[in-house]
Amino acid sequence: MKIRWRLSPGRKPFKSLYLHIILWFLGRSIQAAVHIDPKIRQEFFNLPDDMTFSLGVEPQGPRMVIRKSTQTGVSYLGRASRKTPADLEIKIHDIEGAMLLLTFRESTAISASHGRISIVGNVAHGCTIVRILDQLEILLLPKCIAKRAVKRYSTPDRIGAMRTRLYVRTLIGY
Amino acid sequence: MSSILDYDFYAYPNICSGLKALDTIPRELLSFQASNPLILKYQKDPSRLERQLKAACCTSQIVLGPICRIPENLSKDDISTIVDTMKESSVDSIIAMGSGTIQSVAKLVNSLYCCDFALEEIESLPCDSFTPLPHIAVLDERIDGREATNRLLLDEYRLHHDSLYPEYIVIDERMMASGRDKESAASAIISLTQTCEAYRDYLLTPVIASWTKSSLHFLGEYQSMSTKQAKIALINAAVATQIAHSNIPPGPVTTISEMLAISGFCSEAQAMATLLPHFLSQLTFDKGSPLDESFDEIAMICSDVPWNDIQQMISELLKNYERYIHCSKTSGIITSLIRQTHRLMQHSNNTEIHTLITDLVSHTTSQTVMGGEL
Amino acid sequence: MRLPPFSQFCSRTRIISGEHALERLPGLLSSMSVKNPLLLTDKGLEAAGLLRLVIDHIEKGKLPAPLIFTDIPPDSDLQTVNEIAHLYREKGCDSIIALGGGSVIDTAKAVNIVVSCAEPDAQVLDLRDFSGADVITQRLLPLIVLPTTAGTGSEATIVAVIKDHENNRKMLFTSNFLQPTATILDPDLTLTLPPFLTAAVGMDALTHAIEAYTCLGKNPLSDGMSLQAIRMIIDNLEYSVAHPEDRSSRLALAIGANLAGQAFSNSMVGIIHTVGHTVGSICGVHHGLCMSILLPYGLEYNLHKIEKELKELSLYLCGEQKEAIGTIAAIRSLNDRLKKATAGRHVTRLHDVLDRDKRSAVRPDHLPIIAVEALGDGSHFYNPEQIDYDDILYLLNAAYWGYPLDRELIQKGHE
Repeated sequence: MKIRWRLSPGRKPFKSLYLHIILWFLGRSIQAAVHIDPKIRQEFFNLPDDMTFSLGVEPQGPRMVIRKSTQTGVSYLGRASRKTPADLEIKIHDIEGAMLLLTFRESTAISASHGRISIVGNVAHGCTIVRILDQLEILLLPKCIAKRAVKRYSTPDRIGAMRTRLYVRTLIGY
Repeated sequence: MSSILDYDFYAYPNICSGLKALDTIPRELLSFQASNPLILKYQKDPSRLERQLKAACCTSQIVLGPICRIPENLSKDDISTIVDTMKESSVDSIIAMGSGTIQSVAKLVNSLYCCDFALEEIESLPCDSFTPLPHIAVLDERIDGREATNRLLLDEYRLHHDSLYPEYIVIDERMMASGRDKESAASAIISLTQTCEAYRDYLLTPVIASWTKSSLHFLGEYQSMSTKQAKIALINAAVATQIAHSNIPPGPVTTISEMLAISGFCSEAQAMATLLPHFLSQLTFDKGSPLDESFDEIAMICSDVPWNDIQQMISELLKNYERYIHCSKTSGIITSLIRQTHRLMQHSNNTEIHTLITDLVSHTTSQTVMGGEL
Repeated sequence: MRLPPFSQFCSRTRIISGEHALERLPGLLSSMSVKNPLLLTDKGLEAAGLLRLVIDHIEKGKLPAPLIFTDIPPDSDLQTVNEIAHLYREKGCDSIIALGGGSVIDTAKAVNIVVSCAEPDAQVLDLRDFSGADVITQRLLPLIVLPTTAGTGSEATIVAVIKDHENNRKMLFTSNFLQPTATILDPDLTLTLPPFLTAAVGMDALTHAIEAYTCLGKNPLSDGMSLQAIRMIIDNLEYSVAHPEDRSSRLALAIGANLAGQAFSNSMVGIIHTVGHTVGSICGVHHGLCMSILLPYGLEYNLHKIEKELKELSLYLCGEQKEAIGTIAAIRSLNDRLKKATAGRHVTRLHDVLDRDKRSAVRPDHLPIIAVEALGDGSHFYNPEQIDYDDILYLLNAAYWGYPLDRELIQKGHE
């Protein structure tokens, strides 16, 4: 019988890189979308001030943190340290689950019902964040992809203009 | 008077099945605060399974090991080596990759390690007073009918206790391999036998009915396809039925088949494939018997799965099985047991059945060893 | 059968069921090497004599009488949990027995979290540290549940809900470790339940089973549980309401509720619970009653997404294969029959629900508030159709006045 004593954890460099990029992009686009989409603005209005929330892969994977504050509005804080937990954390349990969710092959609802994500913190705020993410996906993605990511797709008014502004603001970080 | 509403049911394992299920293992390990798992895998299985498990740990940074590659003919020394390895590296969990023997090995070494017993002392293992290490069972299509249960059978070693249930069962299509149709067919027969036995149990309790019903649905799915999806359905069926089956006394077909397999006559699946149709056809003959009454209950409780459909499914699965395995060599020996089976089924007392079967099998063994025809 | 792309199923509570199953309690305690259990229950059950019944059984088994705590409010809250946890530590208990309905069981689960997870020498035991999904990462101490309502299914679920009055919020705990160690289903425990409550909790269990079968998290194992549960509830609910003393149908109902609990604990629930939880918390309406009123409306709302499933359920609910709409009609007619059998106490629309002073518990001006609050209930993730404010308000108005939903007016998501 052969015995091998240890096996160091492997790497998934491409998936990891993709997730870093997409989370960076989502973080910055949430920050920008507040200025562009009234629905997202309204949802943020309902959240308490100085609240932070994170979306990331557990336990040590890529993630993004967003803060809503009265002074600076909604701001993207990058990866931020895990030592101080966010007020609300949307945790994706593994990297494959994150790929399914963030390549928009699986909607947030399906991921939640398959137990791939869990929400730690105030569930009502979690529901608001999920609505924000759904609306963001509608704004960012072409209809055929966004339809897989949300349960009900409704085309917002002047989506073309909004989408262009959103991409420009996201990329220049404004 | 007992009725179908009186029961004691226990289904311990957490079952995770489907797309990327293997990747949920690190999180599960962390959820029971384990970070140093022992990995058991078959020596002949491809090393890509190790790589996949290793890659699944990329965000959790869990260092896997030690990894024991189990040979086909496992010796007693091998078991002791595994237990010594566990002690040396203070493992806190076990991941057993594959179905069949390897899961029994995992259960055995887990018991020996947690009780600090040697293999020779297994008979006096204090089964009721130890907390086992979390055991993660990653199953493939080579089912032996005991993986998800509280039983282990490894050569002459047998244990039966609730501490032996695996903690977490993973069913992932990456564990399946092409060219294992023969093994799949055998697994289907084992699962089908257990399902039928649970289904015909005198006291088909509502909870057993739920599990067996799911199992029948899964088997139906397996029968209609020949893809990896079908194999996933097959393993799901096996797990569901094993959990139901582990809550009832083993039926005559499984008991006899197990004995025949130990005696080296034939594989368990071969014995089951031969015995099962007779066992089932017997049920229709004995009008007014307790078994017949239990079928009335089945008809009442599970009328959405018509008995004709189940019979159809059984014959389809048997045909499928026969395509891969010839039962003719062993059927001669086994058929002679059928008359006895009928007698056994008239008895409700399990101990009595067990004694009768033991007598029967020892009788059969001695005659065959001497080269006599039954 | 539809093989889902991914599924998880865990239901590890040992179930002991049967007439006089309570006699097995001492044996169960001994097999777990339990020496000093803490028995939790409420004043109502003490008055009904159930507490005495349980203690008698424990004493008959030659075990010492357990420590008893009866001050559990109808809505389990943080203060009570922390109080009980202190008592548990102080008296050196080693396990918990919960005798009661949803509130007692949730309180017991929460106490178990605190006493199992907090450091043994911790001065401050605070449940808030463990709130959320999958925060608990260890096996908990033995918890034996003796359910007395045959409806909530809490004895089989991975969930506990506790109110934090100080911060005015509900804390949700979910973890596989929260499933109790064992549960005993004995008709003696549910015999005292009055007919109108039997009807309400029975419908609650039916809602669990139907939602588990129709919502997004469904899988073949939970489907098996749901179907069996529906059969047992449909076969026994009306008989239990009409013949409260019949032990066999009481037991069957308790088993049905338990199976439904196992099903929904694994596949979760949808819009009926999303709205029902909020109606309950804002207007103080009994949870089971909310479920029975909202069940047909919730199914109508999801109809275009769950037509196939409802058609399959018609076999169980109508006794023969019918169209999906027939299943909903069968539920309405069951509600009507229960209303008749309970002399009108089992109401079928929100308008008719009365509070203790015999006034309407739900008023039209409550509906918009309920609709806003319901959007914050986590169960709506698992509903097959998207839910927004207007949808909930439309559904609530229909359930309030008792008219069926117009399928043309329901906003439909894509396939």
